[in-house]
Amino acid sequence: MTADRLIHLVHSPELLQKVLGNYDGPFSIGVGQDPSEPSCAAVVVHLQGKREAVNVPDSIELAGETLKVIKKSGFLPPKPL
Amino acid sequence: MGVTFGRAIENLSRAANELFQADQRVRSVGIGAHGDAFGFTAVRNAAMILPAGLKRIPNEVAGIPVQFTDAFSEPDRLAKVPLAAQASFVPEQGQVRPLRCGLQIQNFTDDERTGIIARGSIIIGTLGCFVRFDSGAAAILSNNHVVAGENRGERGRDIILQNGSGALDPAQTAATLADFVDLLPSPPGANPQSGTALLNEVDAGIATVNEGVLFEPRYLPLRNLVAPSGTASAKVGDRVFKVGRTTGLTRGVVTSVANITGPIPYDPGPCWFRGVIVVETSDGTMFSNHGDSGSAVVRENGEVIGLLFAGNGQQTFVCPIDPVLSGLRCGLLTPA
Repeated sequence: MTADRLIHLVHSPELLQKVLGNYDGPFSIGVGQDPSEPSCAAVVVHLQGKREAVNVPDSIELAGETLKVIKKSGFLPPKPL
Repeated sequence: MGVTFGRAIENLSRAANELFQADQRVRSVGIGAHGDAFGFTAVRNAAMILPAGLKRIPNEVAGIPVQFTDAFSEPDRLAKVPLAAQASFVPEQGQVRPLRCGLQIQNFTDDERTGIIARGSIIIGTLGCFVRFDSGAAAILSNNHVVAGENRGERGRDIILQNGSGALDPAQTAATLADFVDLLPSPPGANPQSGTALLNEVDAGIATVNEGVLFEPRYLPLRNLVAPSGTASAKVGDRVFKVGRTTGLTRGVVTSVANITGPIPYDPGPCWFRGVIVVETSDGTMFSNHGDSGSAVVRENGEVIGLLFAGNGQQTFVCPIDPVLSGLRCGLLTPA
């Protein structure tokens, strides 16, 4: 999926539920690059703990396509600067 | 051997520039005692991990000795600074005319309103860039939480100072709060995946430049940077820079776009944002810190992609420029 198309889907409740599940901590989820295929877009999600990241799927099905999910743990809650 | 205070002051700007450029761990440059005379003192975060192959770190600038003091953490709460003279020196922290992008600013009225000044501090942020209304009036662009006191600001009344003070100094009066986009808090515990959170698009506000106050829609000449000259939508992989009052000039990369991010603690309550751009550095250094809020984040070709508004020491969060400008009904003001 292209980045432009994924940008329109990344805020959908369906995607958020599939990726985050019952996680209720601080996070940042958006569109980034698949490091193994730089030409492909991926969902990038920053979460607090490694345990929460384990529960996030490595990929999801959305709009008939398989989307890779890049998980990054150790997310610190943002503050206004 | 040290030098006279006057000679140190004359070369302070050059020292700050050279030392911040040479050693990414440096967080503060000032003048301190060297024996019976004076020299430069630089405080650095020695705990920072740096890539190999650093430039040579100078032990003197313009023949004036440099003494390094090693701390082992990042400075904290830099947005709230004591009224007494600060030890650190990023050129944008000084009082500068004409006004330029990246300068330190303060909503003086809000700091009086909240009692911060009475408690011995001021809240400062960064002048991002300049914009123009349809009427032709020029304004400075920054965050709501910098120029509008997190929704407390009174349009047409709040006074913006450059660089900032505990007393109303007419020489520092630069602008008057014109407008801001209200921050919309969510109830505690609300989140986007349950559909219970309100999503903000921007943290933005503008203040009309006061009559008689000169400004240049460019960075300080010593920065040698392209001026903000247009706008663009951020793309993953974009190489960007910003100039802010705390960390000065820093460079980074856009690692993701269209983020939903939160919750971020504001005085009205926890706020969630959408459309957020995430910027990180490629060498582990900090792209931003407290006080850099309001900085314009700019591509190397001068296109502004957004306004820096939050961070966590690892990622910097930027609200995209298009909804900032449309929300405030203004356009980017570029050099003639």
